[in-house]
Amino acid sequence: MRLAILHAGREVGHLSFDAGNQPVLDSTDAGLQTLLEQGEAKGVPVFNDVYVGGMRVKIETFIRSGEPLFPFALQQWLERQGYEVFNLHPETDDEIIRSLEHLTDSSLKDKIRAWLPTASYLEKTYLIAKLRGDKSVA
Amino acid sequence: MREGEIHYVPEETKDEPPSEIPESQRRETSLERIRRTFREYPPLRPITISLGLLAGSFGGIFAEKAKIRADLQTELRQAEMETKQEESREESLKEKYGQLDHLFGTYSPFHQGELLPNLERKKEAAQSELREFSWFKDNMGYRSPINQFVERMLERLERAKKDTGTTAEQEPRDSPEITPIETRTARLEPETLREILQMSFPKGWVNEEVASIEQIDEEVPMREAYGIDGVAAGFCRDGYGEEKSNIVLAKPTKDDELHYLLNGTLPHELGHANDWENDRDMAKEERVDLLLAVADRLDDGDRHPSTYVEMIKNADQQLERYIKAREYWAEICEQYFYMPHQMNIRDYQIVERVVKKADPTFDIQEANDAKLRLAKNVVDRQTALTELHQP
Repeated sequence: MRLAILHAGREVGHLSFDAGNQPVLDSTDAGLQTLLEQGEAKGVPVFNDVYVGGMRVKIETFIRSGEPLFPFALQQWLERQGYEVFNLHPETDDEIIRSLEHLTDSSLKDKIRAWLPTASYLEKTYLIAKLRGDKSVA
Repeated sequence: MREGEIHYVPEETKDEPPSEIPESQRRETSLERIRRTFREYPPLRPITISLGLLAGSFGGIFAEKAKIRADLQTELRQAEMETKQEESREESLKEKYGQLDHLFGTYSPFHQGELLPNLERKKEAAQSELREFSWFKDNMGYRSPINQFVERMLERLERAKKDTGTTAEQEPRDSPEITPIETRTARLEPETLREILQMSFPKGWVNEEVASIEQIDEEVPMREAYGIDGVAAGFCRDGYGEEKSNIVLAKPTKDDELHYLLNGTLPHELGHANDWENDRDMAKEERVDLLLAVADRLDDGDRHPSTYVEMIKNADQQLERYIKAREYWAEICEQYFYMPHQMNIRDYQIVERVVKKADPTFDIQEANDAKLRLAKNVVDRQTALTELHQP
């Protein structure tokens, strides 16, 4: 998982996770660094819905650093602190590039490679679905 | 005249008109007979008038009763027809019900065997009313409790329009009751939040499905109350298609940024309010298809990652799966109303299909631009107020 973090419309850092789900921050933003240190030290609060007696209750629980869900919890927590966080999905770019190997039209391959860095995840998944021949995607 | 002799009629007498019939010889008409009777028997007049009035009243009452009976028969025929239509619709959905049963067992809201309880009740109510109908007993205006239920069902069925579902313009709606909402960044007044919700969600998603949004200044320790670790950050009473949902935000939400309330919490809750269980307008086929589409995503490697979904654990696998489906839908709704360009195309299409059905003119980009603008106004106003009050 690799996350891009923005604040007030400006990119302030990238966050990835090692094999032990420990965060690796690439940022010079002091506020972000402090938040991450707090999260690693105490764990981060996350919301979850629990179905209790005909009602749905939103509860706040803690996820600690190193737990399997820590990356997702950190993403939610940073959003609650006012950051915009989105997943870069590097595996999607890899899949598109692999799929291009099967295309014979080299100019089309070049166009796709040029378009890839600025394409949104929505556009990339749409392209993958079309390359796979997924009929469920309109 | 002798036999064979022809009686000769002079020409000048053949075309003469018949002479006037004397009064004593003319036959009396019916009307003249009635008038003569009244003249000769004066007491008949008030008796006849009274009988006439009485006959008129009874005639009026029986006409009213006949109308009631005819209406009841129409209601019964309507109920029988709707039951038949629903049975045939159910038949066509059988295969999909089977798929949902396989995935969710008895937790599927379309679990086979629980067929048409509402329509059955409606039919029984109409039959019962017809049985109790009397030409002579005054039951005009009497409505038994079951009839109020039937009325609600009728209203709901009309609203639901099972073959196509309703669209946004079909009836007036009341906007939800809203209390002021505190966030870390700013305080949202009810009118401001109402405006933001109207601008940033499809028509019907808020007014049609949510009765209230309020914030309370309480912390509810879940362990004491429910035996679950954690602090309650909110409660939602789902309407299950009958009533609107109620959303209550508790104390922990006051520490969130305004941005997360508008882009996280509220879209998530509105997703729940507009799911296959709670939405009050969705046609049955749409509900079934939505649940199947969401269930299909739960096992995909590229599904939307979320703690809401991944943290759900239950010994009953089918229950776990069903709750995951409900949370997955709410999470992709949250994503759609926040960063649609960051969604997987399959998730995007699931939400977009439902949104466009409810409000064909809804544009997510315009909606998000409006939300951003309104939220910025709130923050700027709050900042200005804070600076004003600083020494």
